Amino acid sequence: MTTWTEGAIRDAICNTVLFEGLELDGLGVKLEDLKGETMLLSEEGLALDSVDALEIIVAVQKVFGLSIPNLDTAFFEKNLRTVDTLVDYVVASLNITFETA
Amino acid sequence: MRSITQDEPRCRAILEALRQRPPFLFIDALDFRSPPAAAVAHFTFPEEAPYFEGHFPGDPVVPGVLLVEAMAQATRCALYLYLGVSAPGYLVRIEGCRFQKLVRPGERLTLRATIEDAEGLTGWAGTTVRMVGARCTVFRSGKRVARARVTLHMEALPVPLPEVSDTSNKSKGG
Repeated sequence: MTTWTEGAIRDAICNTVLFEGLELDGLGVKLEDLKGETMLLSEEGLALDSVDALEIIVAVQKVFGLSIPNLDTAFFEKNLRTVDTLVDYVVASLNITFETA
Repeated sequence: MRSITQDEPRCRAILEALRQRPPFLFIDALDFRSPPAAAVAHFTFPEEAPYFEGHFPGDPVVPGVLLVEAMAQATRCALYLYLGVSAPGYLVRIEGCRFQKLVRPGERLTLRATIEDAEGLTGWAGTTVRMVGARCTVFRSGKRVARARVTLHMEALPVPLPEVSDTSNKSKGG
């Protein structure tokens, strides 16, 4: 099992899940533009759409070996609000996995 | 960025290098200040196109397969603009295709195709072309509505087209 640190999780989310997974360079976004406070779905941020959001979830499950049940609007609004909220969600989910393993 | 339409000789020459013809030609203008190894093209699906009668009755939506075809045609333009290659070719692979928004007839679309790799292709020196992969994106009003990576198989033909060299250099420098 991969031992994730918060820094490694953040790097994987920014690089693999967001930048490469969503081909953000095609939207003129640079990797260094992705900060913790960068908003994902809001028009004030990356303005990602629902298809992008589902891609993020699929990639998060694949990269971190998570299973994310009960996807609903509240989940997206809470956990996909910013890069930080997504990192926090993954950190919390992996901790739960470690504790119950 | 200046666009030219297919009524202008330069654009017409490039579009004639494609073998598609109306109603199956999905580019009507090109930007000639595209980034290197890329083409930026435009198209508006006409509201009177017969397929909108059935796709769908009373709710016309541009079929995703036509967006893919448009991306493939933009890739052919990128190949021509950047490498001066004009050879018969066929779409052989589509990867990572995403349709993110509904596209309606009458909406102005921008197609961007960026060549990422070309197997068996070295460009201008009379060599041959085989597989060309490009990352393609379709935009509407600056918003991404579709994307895919397409691969074309080009027939192995000698490719020097000196008259396009000037265009390629301008494109690179633009």
